[in-house]
Amino acid sequence: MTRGPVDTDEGAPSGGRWNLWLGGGTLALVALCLLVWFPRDISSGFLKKSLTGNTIPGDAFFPTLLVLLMVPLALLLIAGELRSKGRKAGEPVGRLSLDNLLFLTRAGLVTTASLALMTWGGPMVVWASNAAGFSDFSGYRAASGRFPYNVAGFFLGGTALSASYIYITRRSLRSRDIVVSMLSTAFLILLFAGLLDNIQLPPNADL
Amino acid sequence: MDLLLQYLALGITSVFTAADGGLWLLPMGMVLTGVVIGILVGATPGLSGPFAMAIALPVLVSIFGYGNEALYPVLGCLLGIMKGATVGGAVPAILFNTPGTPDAFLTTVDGYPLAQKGQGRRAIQTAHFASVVGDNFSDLVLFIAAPVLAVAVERVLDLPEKSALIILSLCFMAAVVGKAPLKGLVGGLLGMFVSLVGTTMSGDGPRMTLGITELGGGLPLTSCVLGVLVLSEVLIAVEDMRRDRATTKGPVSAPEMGPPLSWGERWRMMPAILRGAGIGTMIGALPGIGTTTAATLSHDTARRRSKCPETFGRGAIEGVVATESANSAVSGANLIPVMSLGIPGNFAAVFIILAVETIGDFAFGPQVFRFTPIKEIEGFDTIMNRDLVMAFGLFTMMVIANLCNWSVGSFLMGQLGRLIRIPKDVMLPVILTVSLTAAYVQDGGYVGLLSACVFALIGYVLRRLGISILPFVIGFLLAPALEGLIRGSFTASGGDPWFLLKSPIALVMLALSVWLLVRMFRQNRA
Repeated sequence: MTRGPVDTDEGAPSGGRWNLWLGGGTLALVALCLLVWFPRDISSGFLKKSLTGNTIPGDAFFPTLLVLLMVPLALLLIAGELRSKGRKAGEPVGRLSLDNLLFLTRAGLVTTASLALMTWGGPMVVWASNAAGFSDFSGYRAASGRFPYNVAGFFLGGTALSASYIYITRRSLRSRDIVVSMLSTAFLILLFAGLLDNIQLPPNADL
Repeated sequence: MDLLLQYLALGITSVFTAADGGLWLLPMGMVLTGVVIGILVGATPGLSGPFAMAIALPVLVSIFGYGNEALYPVLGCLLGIMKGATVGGAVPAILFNTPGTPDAFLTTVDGYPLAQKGQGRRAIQTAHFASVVGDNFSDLVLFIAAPVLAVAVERVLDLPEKSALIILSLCFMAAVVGKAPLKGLVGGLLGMFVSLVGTTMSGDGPRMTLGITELGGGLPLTSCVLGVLVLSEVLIAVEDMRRDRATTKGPVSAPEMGPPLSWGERWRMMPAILRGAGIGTMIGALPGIGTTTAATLSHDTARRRSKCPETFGRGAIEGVVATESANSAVSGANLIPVMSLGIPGNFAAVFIILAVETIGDFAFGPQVFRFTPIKEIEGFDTIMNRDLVMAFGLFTMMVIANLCNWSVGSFLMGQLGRLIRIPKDVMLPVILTVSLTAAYVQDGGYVGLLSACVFALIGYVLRRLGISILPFVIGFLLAPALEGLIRGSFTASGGDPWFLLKSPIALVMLALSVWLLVRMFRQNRA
């Protein structure tokens, strides 16, 4: 139990180089959009002529206005930080540390591995079932309409995803955590695949 | 007046009448389900109403589909969750000094000392009574203010003024939400910017897709909001718990509950409840200002007006009354800008708008409250504003939710202490799996799932840098409307580059936006 209430909207520490990075990054994004991205990826330009000869906005009209509005804000952010002269008086800003990046990498790896298991778990189960002589499917696609093959990948991947994040959170994994992960994934299967029609659990909508 | 009563009657009956004319109790059942889920979620530390609404929306859409007939059940459940969560959050705040939702943060100040003095039951019943009365009060204001505001907006504002109003709202939101308003506004613009990926307004093919054909239909709305709001929050919480190695077990036992609250005490609280509800309603009607501000202002006002201000913070029942009546009154009032202008002011409103945009052909905005004369044309159909009927139907469901909060909420509040035992370090990973599954199911495949992951990363970075998420999400949702208005204004002006500055009202709104910007900069330097 916490002795004092936890403020869930706690402010970031005041000032810091991150304001400069954010301001500079915003300006770089604006330049990239105006010079490279928009000209190559928006076909109708800033303005165009309609069939009646009137000038009407093209698809680049609104995005260009948006990125141009970012310019004064980015400059104010940079100016505010530079004027504070290191007195930590700029706009409050947090930071992304190496630890944060390591955590994101870990979370990204775990998520990718679990989603890969979700995608390939079904085909693996079908292959194992065929190899053991329990079935004779030509491939996962042929089995993807039949229980338990249609949910096997989701069950394995979903359980792995929950259990891995529990491990990341508490730095340990108890057997009951795995049971909770399995039961919660089974509940999702019951809800989406059992009770609802026309719903495809991963990876079946992408076959 | 007759027309108003006709629409009101149609709205009320539409909630209980199926397409074939038979009795339809599904919307009412979904409201009740939503209230129960909301109260349970509110009483579980680590979860909140918007969190549950984010996960519930894709599930509800999977169950009820995208047709117009799905609107009432889906919105009924979401409204129920929103209202139930405002009530449930007080229980762990009072009993264990841990707010169930951020809304209940200030309830701990007086609620927890009361529980420590053996008056837990009295404090919980006070919180429930003040919360529900406050919520009812703000709903009444909503029912009157939303149509009045919408009619005024529809009469006075044209395309440029409506564009300027959205810009002003975003600036205002950035100025009042969080502690980094300049970056909040950049976030709002960024939210608008990313929502344009894969869309087109001139019929020349999807834009800004980077050659990824899967983005040709635009980004999946629900998955993106799910990622930036829920998944990023889960990632932050998981990382914090990992770093702190926090023990999240609840206390062994709840404190002594003590005697109940008498009806005489409830009656004597009414002036204080109405004062708190008034403050909460005023604050809630302004987009972006959250429950914490309303509760703080109300608590401070109550303390200053009290004959014994020294008791506040040490277990004053007036403190619980002030905070709970104010923070609950915010939820109804927050729907005033949603229903009358189509502008969401908080996360709960985001999911109400998201549901409306996902399902059927109903849309919020001033056009909803057009009182079109009802005419029956023989052999054809009845001409009327069906959106207005739907709006009165939503009001009816809010009243039903309030009734559920009065009855079921009163019973449940006493039983919720044990929910604090649910370990957050197990619950959050399970929520992550549920959210990713919901993203896949709702948006038909890995595009939804990957969009949710990318937006989770954006949300994580914004949160870690101390940039409020709300302007980003609101910008993301409002971009299509703003683009339509700005393009329409420009075209109607005949290609005039000063198209936004020709109208005095738009000029005043834009001047106010610039003033807010200057104020943000000065605050930045102060």
